[in-house]
Amino acid sequence: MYDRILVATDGSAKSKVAVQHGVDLAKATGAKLLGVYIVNEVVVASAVRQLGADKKEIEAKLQASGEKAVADIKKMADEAGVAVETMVRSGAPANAIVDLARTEGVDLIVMGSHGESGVTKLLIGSVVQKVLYWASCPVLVVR
Amino acid sequence: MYEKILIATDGSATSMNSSRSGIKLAKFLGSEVVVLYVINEMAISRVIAAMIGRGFAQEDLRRALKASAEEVVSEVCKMGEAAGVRVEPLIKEGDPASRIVDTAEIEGADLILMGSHGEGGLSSKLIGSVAQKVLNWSSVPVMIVR
Repeated sequence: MYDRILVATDGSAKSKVAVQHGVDLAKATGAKLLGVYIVNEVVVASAVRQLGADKKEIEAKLQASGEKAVADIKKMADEAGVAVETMVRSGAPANAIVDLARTEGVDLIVMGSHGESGVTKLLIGSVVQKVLYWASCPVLVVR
Repeated sequence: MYEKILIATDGSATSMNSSRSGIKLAKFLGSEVVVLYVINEMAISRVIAAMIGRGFAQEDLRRALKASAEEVVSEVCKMGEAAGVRVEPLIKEGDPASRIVDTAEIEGADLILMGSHGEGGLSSKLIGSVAQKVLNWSSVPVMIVR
């Protein structure tokens, strides 16, 4: 029923729970998994502008944590015997996730209800909210 | 993985589509399905207020709403039968989002599946108000199907 499932992670514990749901669903439906981490360019820009951070350095740091986050996805998928591909991209997270889903022909997006920056008083995170608005495929939101 | 999927429907085209994918998913996962139609109490009271004094009896109206709800859930049950998925039909009255979240809890559903917009869906809204509230309040995963 699904050929390709996109799981978006920001490396947080909450998104790991969502990844597990994505892995299990991929296994049950025979889908391939696409694990995605988006280096948040807004975070990079504000770190540079407001904190005077070095752009290259902050990008490299985020890239490294992205690599680690998608490596975790790969490990979970490998353990479950699910075919997996991973990507670390740069952009505004929600836009990048929706664009990738479209260009990669994904038929389900799985993500956590809150990410790392999750202000807990928000009932649902801003990234998942936007993905829900813009995605043209089904979206599974995991708490 | 999901043992019991709650499919929420209001009979709109989007929600019948999402119900169909819910049944398909249940078949793949070997899940049981509960299909829920919530008769919107707010809508009822508004319709009753508008119709009063025009020869409409409240009972008739309620009966008509119940009948259309039954038609919708039985259509989803038929989808289930065709796919070999066990579907339990449920019709409740109340605020749709609250009832959906409550029912998931009461029935022990581990996934809620619904359309992004229901019948009341203004197409200008990117996501319907019922789906939005369910996403906000649910403690189990929610799948929104467009």
